[in-house]
Amino acid sequence: MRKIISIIFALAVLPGALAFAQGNKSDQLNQAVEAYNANNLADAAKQFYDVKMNDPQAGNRAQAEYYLAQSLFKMGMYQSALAFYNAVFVAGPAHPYYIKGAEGLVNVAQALHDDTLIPSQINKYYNSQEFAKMDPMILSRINFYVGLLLYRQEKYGESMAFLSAIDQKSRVFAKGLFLQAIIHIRLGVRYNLARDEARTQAEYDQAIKLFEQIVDLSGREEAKAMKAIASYDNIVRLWQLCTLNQARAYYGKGDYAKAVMYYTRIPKFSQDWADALFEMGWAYFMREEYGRALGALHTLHSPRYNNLFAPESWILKATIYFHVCLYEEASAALNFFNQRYESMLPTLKGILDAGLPNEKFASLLLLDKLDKADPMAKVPELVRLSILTSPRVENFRHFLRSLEAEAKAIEQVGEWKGTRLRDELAGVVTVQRNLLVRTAGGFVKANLQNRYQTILGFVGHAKMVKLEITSHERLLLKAGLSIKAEERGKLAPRPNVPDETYNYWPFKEEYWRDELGYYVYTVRRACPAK
Amino acid sequence: MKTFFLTLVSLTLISAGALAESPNERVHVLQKRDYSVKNKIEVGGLFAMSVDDIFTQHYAGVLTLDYHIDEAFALEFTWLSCKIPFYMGDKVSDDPAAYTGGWLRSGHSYTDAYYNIKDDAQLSPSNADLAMISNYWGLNVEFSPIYGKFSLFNWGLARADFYVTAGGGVVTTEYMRPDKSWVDTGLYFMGSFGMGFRIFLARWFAIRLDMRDLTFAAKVEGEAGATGTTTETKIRSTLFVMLGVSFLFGGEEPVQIWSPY
Repeated sequence: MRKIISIIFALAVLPGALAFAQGNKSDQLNQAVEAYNANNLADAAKQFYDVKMNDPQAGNRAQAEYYLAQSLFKMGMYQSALAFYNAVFVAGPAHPYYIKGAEGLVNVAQALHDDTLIPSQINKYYNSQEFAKMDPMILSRINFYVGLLLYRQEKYGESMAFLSAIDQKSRVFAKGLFLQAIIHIRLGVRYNLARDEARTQAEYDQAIKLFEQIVDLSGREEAKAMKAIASYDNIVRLWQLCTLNQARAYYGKGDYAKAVMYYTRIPKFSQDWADALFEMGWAYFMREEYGRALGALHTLHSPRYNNLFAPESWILKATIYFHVCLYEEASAALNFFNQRYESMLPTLKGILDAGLPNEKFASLLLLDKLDKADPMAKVPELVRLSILTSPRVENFRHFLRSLEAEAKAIEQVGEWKGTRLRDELAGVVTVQRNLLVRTAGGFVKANLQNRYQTILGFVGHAKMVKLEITSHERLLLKAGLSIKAEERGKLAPRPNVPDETYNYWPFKEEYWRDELGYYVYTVRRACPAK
Repeated sequence: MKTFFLTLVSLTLISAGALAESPNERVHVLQKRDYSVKNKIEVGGLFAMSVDDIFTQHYAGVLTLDYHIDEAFALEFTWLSCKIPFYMGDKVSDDPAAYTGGWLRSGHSYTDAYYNIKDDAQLSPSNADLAMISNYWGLNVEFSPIYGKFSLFNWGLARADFYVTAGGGVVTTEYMRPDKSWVDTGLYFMGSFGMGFRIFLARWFAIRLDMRDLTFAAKVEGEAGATGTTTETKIRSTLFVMLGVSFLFGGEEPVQIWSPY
């Protein structure tokens, strides 16, 4: 009986208790919102977290979850914010803050310079119907991220669909155009390999048109360019890359004269100059301007680029010498290639075959100084530097710095001491740091593999050229001609000075900084008459 | 002549990767000039000092105005002045005080050798040897066949033009009689030959170092005879060393292609 009375009593009292608890939580949500509005973000985050974890009402929990993410974002704790934005986003359209969660993810991606993990998450849960309700500027950014992701997966058609949906007023509009142009170039290369000339030309033309469109955003004058700089992300770098890629597109089309014209527009000592010199060497070679081709390579092989990873440049040099029947010089270039690059292969193979987990590779990229015991310390300097020049390295480093700063900041927030919130956020950051280290390591490993394969590929080329040299020397001997080139032909005269705006200097084994980029070779015409 | 005078430390880095020079190839540098002087007007201000006269010493201010016809040839107007013209005294004055134009006067002086001969040996050099240039206005043709550049301790590069110059103009000279009265000898022709170089520190600014030999027929009073004073003529040449700066204006600006770099 007593038991029954107790139950009746409990049933009578429970709704009141629940209502009291509910009222209590609603109050807490209100207090949290007040703290948030008063910019007392640490306190707001703590209270939102409490509501999120304990409030019986789903609506309150959802609201608290989103505002917790917002509070953390405003505190500069992007990784922590990401965890909660992601929870909101992954919940799908049923979550009242679904769209806002997606926007939050985009903002975090921007803040963390992450163009891999968050875009891949957004792509996974992309909902075109719901996203149509979004701010067009945010949606454009999402379309860009997804387009970039799909481009990296070589899904060019799908990528194009996302990229062409970017709003013209969006800050990523120019980036979207650029990526579309690059896709056209990739397709041009693909059709070229398939020997589909018409489609190859069409793709390159399309790419050139898009590059022009991007450069046109500058108005091609400084005053207008300044306006564009204020309107579009990274537009200056895009304009620079447009020049280089226009040259590449013309090269792909077989218009080598125009390719050279664009390559020469790339200023000396700029970050694209080494690429331009090397590719210009090829363009001159295709035009059979061997002296100029060797001249471009002469700059590339000068002390300024002593640390440049450019194995192909030595193969090109040997090939040019081979074409003008200077076999000794060709062999010397190949020997240099072997000594400098082929010799790296055992070390690289050793590192790659050691079965190291990805994390072990990350130190090459994330640490400024490597310990001697670190396996990455064995990576040849040229290879290491070539990896470190990738623009993605700075993104990784930025991400890591940001995580480390966030871990410290979480420790230092007084309001969170001893709370579950702090433990959870610290855990999120640690997990993300581990993931980052693994991803960065994977990036390094992939790059080491790429360098290894590149060198290995050119070792094969070198062997082929050597074989050709031997067979041509044999032919010379059979024809009763001397192997020594100096006994076979005349040295070409020195090149004409085009006009009085040029200075002529003979090169005497001295590299003068101002002369880099102006070298021209004259070579002996040593091929026997046919 | 890639480098002249001072090539103390150039960017003479020998590439680790450089291959030994082959007899089957030559490497040349066809370098677009960083600067062009064609059609430029150059205004220069120099300080000059005579260096080879035994009895006379000149200090002069020099104003030059060059028009560069092309990269190699230029026309130059030169005004060399040891004293401001039309300012200090009459043509012939028996009053040396009339010529005391303060510091402007100090462009002229006689050397210790003159005073030693005059005071110790009681001798006097001929008046022709004592004639000193007051002002010279001349036109020269300048030819720059040699260009060069140099670097000092890798502090950057400086370009230089070496040139020779020839021309002529009019000069006024004067000399001091033994009684210390000054004689202005009037205006007559003078030839000028020289060489020099300008070091370009910027497209619009250069340092100039010149040597000019100014040759003239000094017409002065000779010995006093029964029929009066004779006129003595002697070919005199004075070598000036000049140092100064010049500024370049106008000319063709290089075509600027808009570049995002």
